[in-house]
Amino acid sequence: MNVPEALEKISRALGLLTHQTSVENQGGLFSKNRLAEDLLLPVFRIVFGAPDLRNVNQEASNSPYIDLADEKARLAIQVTTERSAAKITETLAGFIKNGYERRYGRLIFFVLTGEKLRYTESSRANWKKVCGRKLRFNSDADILNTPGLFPLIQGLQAPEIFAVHEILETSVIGGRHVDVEGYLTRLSRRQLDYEKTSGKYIPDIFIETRETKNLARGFVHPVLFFRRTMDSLARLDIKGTNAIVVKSGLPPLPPLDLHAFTLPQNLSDIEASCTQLISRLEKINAVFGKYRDRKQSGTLEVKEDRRYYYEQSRYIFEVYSGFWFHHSLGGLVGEINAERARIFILTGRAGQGKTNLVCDFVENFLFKHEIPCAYLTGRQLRSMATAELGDAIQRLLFEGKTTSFTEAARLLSDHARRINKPVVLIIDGLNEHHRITEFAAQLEQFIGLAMEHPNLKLLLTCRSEFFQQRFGNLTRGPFEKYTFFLEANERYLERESYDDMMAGYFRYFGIQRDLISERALESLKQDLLLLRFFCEAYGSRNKLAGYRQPPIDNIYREDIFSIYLSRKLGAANLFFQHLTGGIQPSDRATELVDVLAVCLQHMLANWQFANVPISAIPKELNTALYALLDEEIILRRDAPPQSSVFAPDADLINFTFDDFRDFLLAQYLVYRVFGSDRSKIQEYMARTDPKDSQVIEGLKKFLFYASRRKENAEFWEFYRGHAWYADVYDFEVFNIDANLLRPEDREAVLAALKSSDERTYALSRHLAINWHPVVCPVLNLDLLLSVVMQATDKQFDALIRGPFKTHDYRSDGASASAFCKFISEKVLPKFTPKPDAPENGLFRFLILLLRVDSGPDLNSLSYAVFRDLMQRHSQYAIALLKESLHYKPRYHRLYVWRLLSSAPESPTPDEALMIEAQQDQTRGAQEDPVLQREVTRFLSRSTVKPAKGTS
Amino acid sequence: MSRDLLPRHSFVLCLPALVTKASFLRRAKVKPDSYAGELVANLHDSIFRQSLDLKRDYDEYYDVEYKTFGEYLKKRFLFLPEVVAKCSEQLHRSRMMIYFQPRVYFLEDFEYGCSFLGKFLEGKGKQ
Repeated sequence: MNVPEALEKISRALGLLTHQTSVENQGGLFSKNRLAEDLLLPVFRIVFGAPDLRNVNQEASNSPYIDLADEKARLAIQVTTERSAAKITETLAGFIKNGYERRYGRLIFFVLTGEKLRYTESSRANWKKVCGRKLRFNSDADILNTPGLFPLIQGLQAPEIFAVHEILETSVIGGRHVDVEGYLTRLSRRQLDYEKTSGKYIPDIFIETRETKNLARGFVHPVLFFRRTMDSLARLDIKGTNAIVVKSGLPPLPPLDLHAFTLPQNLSDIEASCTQLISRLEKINAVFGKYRDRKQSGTLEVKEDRRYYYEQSRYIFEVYSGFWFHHSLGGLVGEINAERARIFILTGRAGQGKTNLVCDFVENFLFKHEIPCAYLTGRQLRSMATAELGDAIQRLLFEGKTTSFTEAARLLSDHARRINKPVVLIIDGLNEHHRITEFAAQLEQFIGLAMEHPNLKLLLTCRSEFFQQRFGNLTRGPFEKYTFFLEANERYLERESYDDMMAGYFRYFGIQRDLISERALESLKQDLLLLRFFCEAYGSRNKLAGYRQPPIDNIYREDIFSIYLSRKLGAANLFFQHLTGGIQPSDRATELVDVLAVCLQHMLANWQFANVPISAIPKELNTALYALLDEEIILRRDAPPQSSVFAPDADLINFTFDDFRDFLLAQYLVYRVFGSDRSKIQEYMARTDPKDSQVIEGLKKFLFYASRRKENAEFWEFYRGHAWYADVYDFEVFNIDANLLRPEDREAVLAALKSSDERTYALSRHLAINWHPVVCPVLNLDLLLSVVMQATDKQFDALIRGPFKTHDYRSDGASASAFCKFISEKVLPKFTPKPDAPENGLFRFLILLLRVDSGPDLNSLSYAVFRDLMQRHSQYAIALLKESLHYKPRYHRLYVWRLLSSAPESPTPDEALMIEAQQDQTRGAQEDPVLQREVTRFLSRSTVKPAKGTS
Repeated sequence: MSRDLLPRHSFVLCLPALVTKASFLRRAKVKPDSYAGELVANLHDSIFRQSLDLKRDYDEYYDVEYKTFGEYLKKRFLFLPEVVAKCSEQLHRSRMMIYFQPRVYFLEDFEYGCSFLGKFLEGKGKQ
């Protein structure tokens, strides 16, 4: 290209710019800021010979009246769409008022318009007056419009003309322009929509994990959040803490003057600022680490004349400063590490909400802060048929506009520098790639390349169990300096959060909450993965019109899995028909089941419950296999571990969820193997290898459930005599439908309770939870009460005091306080006394709980709840108390007397009651002064005289 | 107030203006250089220098992300719904909203803490 050709192209480009700025109303790509940054800044650097010209709008310090400035060239430029004389007057006045003329000898107005600029003589005179002798302002040369740029470019030397041409060609008006943000936003939006449709991202159920999100914020927006970290540091009062340290005779803390740190304004300054600050903070924290360690307290160098002060302040060092300060400072060091990192790796267990977190982060943080990001997934990348991951990614990002990842990365990096925000590439679910080993190697290579381009950041997520084994290199060796690794183990501590999340799931899947019992809801809150299975099984979403959710009283894992399986097989069948062109009959579902059967059979035959070689599936079932692998709803494909070049290279199949695999294994054993070869099952059950303990536990459980089905009576006869059955009986017998219980179950549990061995602890708790005699007709609270009422004091301890004692830090829903809360909130408000009321057992149980959490003053939550019952239903409560005096254990009696003394209505005169009181008074005098005190109080308030002949 | 790391009471102090150290000491009726003066000055520091001003924090760092101040309080600090409502109500009447987590034991009693701080902040402190 020669100079005239270049000038011709420049002229056309400026014409296009003039046209676009007049028709597009200064928005989007042609916004004033965008043009100033992307196009005008580099062109002006050349045209006005100001190589250090920069965009002052991106700096924290506010510089009104100017947009671009270069102190060395003493040039300031205002880019504006406003051409009025008044605007120019106002800007000139402001410029001088702020004293800018001392730094910049020339102020240029660049008006984004193609129209000719005309100003009156009086305006020009006015400007001269405003500028006076302070600024030389030549309105002819210093007010420019878009066409006015061309003559200036024409006057440049050839290399400079070519340079301007190159800038315009790649700018928003050039033929080689790639709209980076447009491509990235469209890609991410598409992916978010897909995740929403497939149910992987459900905005309604997202509960913010505060610490994880906090660190992620700093990672993607370091310029803003580094400032916040500095604010937090300032609040830590390091200076004040140092004063206490010195006063205590300890050496002063390593110096740290936060005011001396300049806040980084540009992305490129972040790394240096973070590194410098971290090294200082780590030194300080190392000192506090020593102070909080009690073992080191004797070895600290304390000035002798200050030792008395130190000894008095030791608690402060070990607890307050030592722990709190060390912990807080450590947290801030973590934040800074995240801010400077280039790779953020988030791992967590399955079902913990990583995808939800990432999608929410993209939608509600990155988009809102206009941080360019590309949201990709392991699933998406596995379908790209390219040898290089970088190549696959550049194709996904720019849809063929770029030819290599290097070119794409350069574009991204330049864009990030211009907008002073990093470009974030997200790969969610690294483990979801089919060929993990191969993918891991590609990923390392790709990251190596990406790290060569500044301002590019990578946010990666992976399931914990896959991470260290497959992608562990990313935290070591050459990657270590770039990586911030976070294992997401935050728990949602708040009950409201669980409630919100469950409500979100129910809304999304169309679950009718009023058809689910309270205890079923409680079970679902304990297990989020099960909640997901449950919603897919029972929700109306994606079900046929007319579907009605059944009432659900209890959570039966086997039922949920059965429904889930049939739904997922249905979905896979649809996909299968799609793969086979829809011409096959719809009962191809049998082929899907055959694939599962082959996998299960292979696992059992080899006694290996993972990594079934893909070659084990017959070729004719391959299409069915792919249908099952799609979306990983049942099966997942993995790569073989490449321990040797001679190792087999075939891909492997695993079940997506271990619990679901165990369910299928049990189904296979009962329905396919038991009928044909029960010795095989005997053989499997004889295996005791500890490495298989997890799968064996699952098998025991699901075989137990299957054995209890009426149609499997023969299998039950076979299985019940086996140790596996007994191993899970005490727990799992409460997890099957109450209608499937047999009279033998009642006898078995009764015998266990009477034996008072270690089994009674769990059994008592389960029976109490299953308190409702109609809902749980066989194994329920009444059964427990029947034993306790006849128990010795020692048995009472084993059946009641031990199992129901409330522990402050273990809120498990079966403690005395949990029962009291339940009775007080859910039962008492609606209760009406009746001889056959199902709640009667609960109130009898409440009397037995009086002793459990009682303090020396005899008060407890059970006591308060029973008093509440007495206030509401006095006669009923008194009758229960009187009845309880006939129970064999005696621990509760002193509470009973106290309650009777304080009853709002005195007990009906009753000779038998008085005899009991007299006897307890005598016994109390001999053995138990507290009992004596309570019964004496009762007698003193009682109007009934003792019967004759009693002592 | 919130269910944060520490199982202690914390306070959100909604103030129309900064209370200077001098007037804080005056209201506490203590002399600046006395032992009591030092204690009260430390309390002033822990409120005004070492505690987070929620209003400023929201304006500077979170208003792009969270549509409302209430959403920010709920999601960032897990404040109870009634506290979120109360703070949102006070938002436009206050210049500062200080999230104060006392590290002195005498303020751990909630009722006493409220009355004590209210007095020192001249009746302008709200729980």
